[in-house]
Amino acid sequence: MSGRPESLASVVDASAPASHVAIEASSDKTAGRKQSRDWGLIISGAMVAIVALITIAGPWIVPHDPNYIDSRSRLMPPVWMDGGSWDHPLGTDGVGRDLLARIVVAFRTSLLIAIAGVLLAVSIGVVIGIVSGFLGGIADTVLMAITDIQLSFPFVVLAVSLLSLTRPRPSVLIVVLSLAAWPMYARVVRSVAQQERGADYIIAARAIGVPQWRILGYYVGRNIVPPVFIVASIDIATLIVLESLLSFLGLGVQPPTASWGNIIAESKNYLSSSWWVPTLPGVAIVFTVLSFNLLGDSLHRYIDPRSAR
Amino acid sequence: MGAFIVRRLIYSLVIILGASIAAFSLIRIVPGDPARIMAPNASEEQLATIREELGFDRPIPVQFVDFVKSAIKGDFGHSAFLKEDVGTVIAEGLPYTLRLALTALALALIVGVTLGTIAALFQDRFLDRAILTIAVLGQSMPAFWFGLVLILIFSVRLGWFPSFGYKGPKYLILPAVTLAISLLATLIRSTRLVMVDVLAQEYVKAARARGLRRRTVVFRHAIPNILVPLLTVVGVQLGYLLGGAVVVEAIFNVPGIGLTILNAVLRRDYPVVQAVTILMAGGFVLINTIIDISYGALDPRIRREMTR
Repeated sequence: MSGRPESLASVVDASAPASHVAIEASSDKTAGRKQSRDWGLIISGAMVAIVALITIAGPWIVPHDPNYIDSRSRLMPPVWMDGGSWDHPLGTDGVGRDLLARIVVAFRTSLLIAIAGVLLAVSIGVVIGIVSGFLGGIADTVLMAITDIQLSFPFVVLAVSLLSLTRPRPSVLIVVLSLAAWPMYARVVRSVAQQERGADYIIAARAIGVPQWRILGYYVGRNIVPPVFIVASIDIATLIVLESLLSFLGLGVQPPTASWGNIIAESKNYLSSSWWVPTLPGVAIVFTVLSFNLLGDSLHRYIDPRSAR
Repeated sequence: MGAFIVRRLIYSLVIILGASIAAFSLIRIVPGDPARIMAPNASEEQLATIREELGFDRPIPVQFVDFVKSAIKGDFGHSAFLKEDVGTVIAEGLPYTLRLALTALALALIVGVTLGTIAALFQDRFLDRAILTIAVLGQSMPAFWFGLVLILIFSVRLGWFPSFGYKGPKYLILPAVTLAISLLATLIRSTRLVMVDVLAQEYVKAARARGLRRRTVVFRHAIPNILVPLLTVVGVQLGYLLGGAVVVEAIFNVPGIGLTILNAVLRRDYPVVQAVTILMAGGFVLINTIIDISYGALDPRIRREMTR
């Protein structure tokens, strides 16, 4: 769907058929650090830091209450246009609320929902992936079939029908968003677990009597962290886009709580007269999403240098 | 090869069946009375009629078997809101969606493969970096917002293209561009990755060593070889293409099945929702199956891997 970045794995290993995608964890941990300075990592890190700063401090800094309705100053233009003033740097929306304040507080809403969705997806995906990859056999077949069933639904369609059945609440939204993301973790973790299952050091660990839970949790778990981290960074970006889309369709974050999607939805009819209201929240989306996408790419290059080529 | 195709087809049928069961059960297992959600102001008697009409009063497995039986005969139920058969509703919308999706796919493929190839040829140089930047930027733009920006620039300001409805090819351009953007990034990056690989192959070096021009080698030797792996990427992207069509149709008011399902969801028109959901999931699985099979036909290594 919209801006959903390609499955990372299909890019990493574009020549593999869809059902056999894999991200290989780098075995050579020092290879990525030979470059003296990785500008991609620095720039994307800085962008994410800016996003984090706005998310944490933003709501305290903005001069206006994002929900304060002032019907005398409806649809005021931003400061750089005729009639704009520093009182409302980005102008006001259709009912006179300060646009800057609404966009800034939406950072917190969007990021919290996206991060919670990713954490939930990681938990589901890691469990399914480890069980599937390490046990193999019938458990693997069934779990991968479930993963394929999940992937067969176009996410927007699934999300829209699910959300229409219940009252849109943040908790429901988080669960629905996690549905979009968990299959990727299941597949990535499964392929790592499969590789590790037959590795000599695992056999050796078994031989000296290391219990199964410790093998899974520590030996295999350690190898899962880098690829999961890369996918998670990009997934935060994906889920931010999906959340804004669902809010745009009226099924995500509900007004008056500001989210980028619902600001755009509320103002899309003013597109020809007051273009800044529906377009400026999009700039915030693009910056945030771009920062996490770039971070994911840079981490990928850093952790798995072979992919950079 | 035969065994491979059979196994693959059976697996796909299982997936489609599983997806259908999931989509079907979804609206029936959620707490709350679906009949009441569909008609909030109806009397108890009317609710009973709705339940009976839609079969909500019977056990879910029985309902599902009935649904599959009718669906095989081409009867997907009746939409009480549109006063039409669901099959008819879908048949009306599908051409718009297919036209939009295929145009967007073609557009994304042409631009994506071209830019990806250029990036690979100029690997790690300025042009490569610039193209990759465009890709990541395109990937970071939500389609619904990008569509609005296109409308603002090309409809409102310049007046070049209409932004609403569908009355001819001119109406297709902005929606198709919007939908293509979300695919473009993936295609650029995949093309580049595969192309870099192919260009490092012995046969490419051999062709160059024989004195063939770079251009000839790229067009005659390299590009045909990247199309097969790209096929798989396109298959995976198809899900996003269908999902994206819903969004794009909503923004540009194209009367395809995406807009149909969105309206159906808002009206709680469950027969339409379940039929379109199953159709989209089934279509996605089917196309990926075809891609996997043709991929296996072209590359024996995958065939062996999958029949194992």
